[in-house]
Amino acid sequence: MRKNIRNFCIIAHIDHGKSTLADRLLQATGSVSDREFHNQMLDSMDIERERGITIKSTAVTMYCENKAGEKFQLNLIDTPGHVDFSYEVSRALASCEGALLVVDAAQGVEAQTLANLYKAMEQDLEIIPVVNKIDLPSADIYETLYEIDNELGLDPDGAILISAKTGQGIEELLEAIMERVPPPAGNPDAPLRARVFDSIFDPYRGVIAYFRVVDGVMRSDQDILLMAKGNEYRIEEIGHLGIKREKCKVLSNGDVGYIIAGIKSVSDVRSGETITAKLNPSEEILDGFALAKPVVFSSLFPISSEDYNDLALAMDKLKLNDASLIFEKVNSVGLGFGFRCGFLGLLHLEVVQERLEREFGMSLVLTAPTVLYRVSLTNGEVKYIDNPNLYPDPSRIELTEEPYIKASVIMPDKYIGPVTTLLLDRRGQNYSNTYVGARRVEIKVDMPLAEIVYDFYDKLKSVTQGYGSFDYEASDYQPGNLVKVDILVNHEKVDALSMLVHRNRANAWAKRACENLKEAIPRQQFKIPIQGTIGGAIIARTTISALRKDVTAKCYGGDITRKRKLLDKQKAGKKRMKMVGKVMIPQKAFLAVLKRD
Amino acid sequence: MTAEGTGLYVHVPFCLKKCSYCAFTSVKKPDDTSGMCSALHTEFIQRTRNRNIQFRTFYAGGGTPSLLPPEFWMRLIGAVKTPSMEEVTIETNPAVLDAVGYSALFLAGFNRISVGVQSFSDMNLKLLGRIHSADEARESLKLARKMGFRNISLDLMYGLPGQTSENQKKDIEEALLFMPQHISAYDLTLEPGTPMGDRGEKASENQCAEMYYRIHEMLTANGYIHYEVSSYALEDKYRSKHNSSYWDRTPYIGIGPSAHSFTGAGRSWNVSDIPEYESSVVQGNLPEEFSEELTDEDAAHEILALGFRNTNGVDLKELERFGFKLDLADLLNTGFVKKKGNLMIPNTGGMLFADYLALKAAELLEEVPRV
Repeated sequence: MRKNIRNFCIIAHIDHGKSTLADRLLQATGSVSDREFHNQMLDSMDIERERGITIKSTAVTMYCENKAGEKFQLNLIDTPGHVDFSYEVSRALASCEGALLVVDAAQGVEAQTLANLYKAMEQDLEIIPVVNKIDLPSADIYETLYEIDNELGLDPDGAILISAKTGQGIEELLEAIMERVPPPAGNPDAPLRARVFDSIFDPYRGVIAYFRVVDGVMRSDQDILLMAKGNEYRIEEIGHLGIKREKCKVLSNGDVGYIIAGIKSVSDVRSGETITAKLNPSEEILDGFALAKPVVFSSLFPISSEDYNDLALAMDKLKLNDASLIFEKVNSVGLGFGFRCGFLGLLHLEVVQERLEREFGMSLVLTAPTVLYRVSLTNGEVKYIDNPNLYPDPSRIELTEEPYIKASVIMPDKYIGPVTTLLLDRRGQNYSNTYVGARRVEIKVDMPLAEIVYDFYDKLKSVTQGYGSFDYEASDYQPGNLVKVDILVNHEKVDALSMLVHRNRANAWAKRACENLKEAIPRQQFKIPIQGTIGGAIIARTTISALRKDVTAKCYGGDITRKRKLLDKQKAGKKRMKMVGKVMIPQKAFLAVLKRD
Repeated sequence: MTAEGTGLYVHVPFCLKKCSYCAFTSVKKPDDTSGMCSALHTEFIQRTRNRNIQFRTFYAGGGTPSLLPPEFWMRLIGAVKTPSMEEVTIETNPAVLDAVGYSALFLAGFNRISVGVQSFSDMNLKLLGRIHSADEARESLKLARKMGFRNISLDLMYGLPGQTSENQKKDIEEALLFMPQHISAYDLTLEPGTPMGDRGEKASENQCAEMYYRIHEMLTANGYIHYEVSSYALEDKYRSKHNSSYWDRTPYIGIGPSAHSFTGAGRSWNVSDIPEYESSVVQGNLPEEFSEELTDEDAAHEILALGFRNTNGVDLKELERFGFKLDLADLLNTGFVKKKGNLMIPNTGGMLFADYLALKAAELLEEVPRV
């Protein structure tokens, strides 16, 4: 029976049709009835559906017969594609023997595809190239096959041509999965080892962890041990992941399934965790377990201070479902109580913000995201600083270092000029470029992480007209000549607007921040000076002129309702502003300081 | 709704040509206006039948109400008129009426006339899309007085695109030559959907604020009382009683397309589509498009939105009547408001910031426990 199990995942660039392909496979194998079917079956969060992205990994088991009439169990493990969640991706890949690499016949190979392909290759997966969207008039199948050969180094003869939209080629693809993806290895007689690749929190059942059994057998009446965390649990339920959860008694090596065991929080069973049996446990933990470390930090404040307790509750609830989110209470002079949070990246930050606003009805102010700086003090102490306001006095600092990344950008060679300019403008070093295909170039560069935390993706997209793709990995800390720039609004320092900036850019940065704030803060009854300062010395300033009048001239004809509604609307709008001193600052202004043109 | 002090507003949705800034409901005057006349009269009867309403003010607005025949007005005023009636106003366009026309309106029962002068500069008038010349406006004012009107209101506009302070000064000086009993001086409001609004044509905010203070200086120096952000009266008795009723929340009935009514507890307005209005009235239905009952908070918001626009101010006792007991003392720090007994009264600068004061006060409302 084990020889008829296939575990695979789908690797695709955003928009290349991963979710549609998954939907089609579910239908072709009869795993979902027409009545139950909806688009993006595997993405369950609103935010996933709306944005067409996958944030959480999940899995689904399908059954199907090959041409010879043999029955197969196919486990599709669906993974996020974004670099913020690359750790989850690698855990999901480690649970597969094969991967479908989807390439859009109209777009060709893209860089994120490449990054995830390398990860799949590192795991020794059987790669099946899939050329999708062949029904489009703009599809160029030969060029795409050429790129698969030349840029990816895969055998174009093995590529399957499909249209996930029309269903063309899906039967062939299923056949290829059954024929070419190897059956699961692993020892059925060894002690149990199962690798967790993601988990979700269910308000009724607690944590539901998704895993792949690597060795041995898991039984529904067992006690289990989580090897990395060291906690023991009694199994309440195990089963397969169909479109719904299907309870069962036994899962063996190669199986993909879920477990419910009274686990309180997803932090207790991180991706990469090894599940073993309490009796006769395995000696050896599965490799590759690491805690994903936050790289971007920002503070969240409720718009109105009395909502702090609601925010605290919401953060605790969100944490149950998001093990990567870390936070601690902070107090800002201007913004009151809030939380300093660490995120895996900017997408993660956006997802958290959106979920807090949508699922918990919070109105938030988010401060400019920063990275984790390493500061060596003159007294020999080394501190990690994730909040500009905790930056020590310069006289006490021996050395400040900032995190660097190894960045890779792949794009058609005609964009090499603007991309190079962009990367060097963002303090890129050790620049190199190589052709990865006939007309495609990969640029590699070392650059400070701080340079990509805001609007880098948007900039890259715009200079490459959407054809550039970006990936990075963290590298090391390097010395940075940094200064803290403070912003004074109406002569009062707004701590949430302070930033650590490279010294050579401090003046330009402060000037732009002041101008952006001038745009973002509405005029008020008095003049509002905005100043950028370093250690008290003013390096930039602008002034928001005073409002000269605020009244609508006419109020005749008896339409008082219109006047009242206007007042109601202004009142609601003001609730989305934060009072700092006597100045009203809208939510968006706190991010406006970072905007580059 | 038998209370004294009720106003009647009649909206006439016809013009010879629509002005470039105007967003009120109006269309080109048809040859035959008898359908509208009978619909207006019918709606008046619908709304007042079996109710002993003591009207105090009557206001014919539009549009250009003087485009309807004087006999219609005479009949309607006759139907409305009660001993309590104090002010019977009609708006006119200087291009529309000759001496006979003014005389006929006076005889029909109007005792106050509001002349839409807007400016004494032909260039400004052209810019605004007015159909009359400056000379016609001068002539019109003289005729109105000659034919019997002793209570004349003159409309002026400022804040026009390209308007200089000199240009505005001339307009004010010429208005003062006529010494009308009342002057309405509006800062041009850009309304979306109007030609000027869509082109975004207007003087700068700074210039408009200066013009507001200039007209205040010049008119008050000549004895006018600045009693509302855009309204000046030569004596207290010449304040517009009808418009004041909007601001102090006296009930009123509005008839005609898009006209608004206020019962004291709720507001409603009519459909603005003219054929729909007429057919609805003919079928015996109230031509209302919308009606709402006001919550206490709505009422309080109205008091604030209206009160800081005029020198009667906001009455704290009135707010308390709707459950909001507060002193609004924070507003005193703005320098825009003075307290006089229960009243919070805006000064000249305060009226120019009426919306700001209303918003600030509306926020303070939320902080007090309801009584």
